[in-house]
Amino acid sequence: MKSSQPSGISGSRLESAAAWLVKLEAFGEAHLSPEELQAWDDWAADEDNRAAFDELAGLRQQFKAVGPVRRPTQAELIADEMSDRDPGASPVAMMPELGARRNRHLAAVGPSRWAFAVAASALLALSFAIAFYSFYTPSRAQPTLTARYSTRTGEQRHLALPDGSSITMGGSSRLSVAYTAKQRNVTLERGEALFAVAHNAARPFHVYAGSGVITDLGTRFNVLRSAEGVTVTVTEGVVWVAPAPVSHDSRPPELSQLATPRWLPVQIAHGEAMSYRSPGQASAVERVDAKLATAWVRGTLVYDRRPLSQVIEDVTRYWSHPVTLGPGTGELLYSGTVGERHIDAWVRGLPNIFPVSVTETNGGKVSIRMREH
Amino acid sequence: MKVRAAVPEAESGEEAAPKAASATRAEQVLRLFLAHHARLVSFLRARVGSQQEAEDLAQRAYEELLAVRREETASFFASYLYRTATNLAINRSKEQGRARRYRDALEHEPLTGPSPEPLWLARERLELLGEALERLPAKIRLVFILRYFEELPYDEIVVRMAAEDVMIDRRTAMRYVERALVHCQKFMAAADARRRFER
Repeated sequence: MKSSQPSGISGSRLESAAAWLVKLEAFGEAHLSPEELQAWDDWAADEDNRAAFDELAGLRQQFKAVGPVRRPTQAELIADEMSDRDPGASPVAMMPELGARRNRHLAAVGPSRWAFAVAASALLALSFAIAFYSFYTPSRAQPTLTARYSTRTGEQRHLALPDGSSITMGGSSRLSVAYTAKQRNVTLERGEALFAVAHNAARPFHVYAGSGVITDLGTRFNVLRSAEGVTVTVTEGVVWVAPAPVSHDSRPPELSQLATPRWLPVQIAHGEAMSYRSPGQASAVERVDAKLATAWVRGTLVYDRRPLSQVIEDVTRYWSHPVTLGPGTGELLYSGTVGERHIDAWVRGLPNIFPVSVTETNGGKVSIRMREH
Repeated sequence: MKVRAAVPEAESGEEAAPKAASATRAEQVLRLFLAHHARLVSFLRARVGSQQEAEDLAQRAYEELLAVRREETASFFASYLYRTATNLAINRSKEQGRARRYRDALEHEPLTGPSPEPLWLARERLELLGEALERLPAKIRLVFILRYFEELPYDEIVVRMAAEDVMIDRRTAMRYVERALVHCQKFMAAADARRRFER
């Protein structure tokens, strides 16, 4: 799996994850005591712990597909002093040993990992410096455009831009367009939009959304901005997604304010999606059915195992009743479709699929709660 | 997550009062189950190898718990849920033979987990993983081979290691495997970071 934060698991978390995996998979050899089960339950309640554990479990599954690994000779076993060295005392105890047998293309990759991060920050800072230099140096010879667009609840709007690109805006959405001679910049302030970009390498197209920036390489892609974060889905071509400067949304950034990227720029292609949120968290790139992510343009909202809280946030961009969610209801997972014109009926039907009740006040406020008896 | 989460109705033929009580209990079980679902699936995945099967077993454990007519406290629930799921996993593996099921799971699931990658990427990963294993210190490597390639129980591994004049106990053997896993994960993460910047 492609992970956007390949080295994001901390050392001690990784070690406890490995200890649990080895313990749990000692299948049928030892039963766990109730105390051990409780200890697991407590440990695994932490989402990051569980993510580390699942990643290791996934890795382990791949071992069987690896070709035969050379068995050590008896001489090697006798000479081995590394295995019993305390790894806690020197966390990279095995890395120096690796360095001794340098490999053609992975030599010293571990120790220099931070160097990549530094190089990336520098590169990113430089590219933003260039970007904003050109942003604030408009050329009179080229047509420019600065505009702001918004849609009401339930409204969709299609924008045809002078460069041949187009934007379809979803309900309750707002964006601003700033075309300069050298750049085309769009900021998605809220909601959702589908971008179809006319490619022009000399005048790149950037979409700023929350803590990230999406750079088009000639393509169609969807950007959804919600309370949860930003999700980018590509339906055609390729885009780059990178952390944005800290204060892009509020005021023109200065170089000193550029964020140190906490996640790395990632390229996503046709049929892939990724999410990020502030501050500095990004999901792995996932394969998705891109048609489903853009079904909203055709009047249907599609969800696959999405928490009800997110689904409600999304559908209320097409439905003007305020909705409140009672304790426990937001985590219910919904899979299915919602017609943008039939949200009324969908909300009323929720008690048929979840153990919830739906009540509506005279003022049109809707409340969803767990059913009680 | 696939949870057929609808609360089943109480069986017909019951009195009205027990019916209401069992509906309440069913909701309570559902709520507790949803709260523990992700942990349970991870737990089972370590035992059965495949994500799909772990989810199926979790679902069956849930159904089994619904069928039990007893009031339980939330704290009791967790260990009861794990025990039920463990028993289901053991029964299933007895039925089918663990090694064979594990191989089946590998054949049916893409090598790279839930999101299949282009084939070349999968091949590159396997090659890297092979390199990571080659670099393990000798004793750790041998224990690892015995555990994951020959699928031996730890007690047997201790005996095999002794035959090579390496005296370790069961606990140390497990500790070696832990360290091998940590090493491989770090190695792959470092390789991923490098690849990202070469693109």
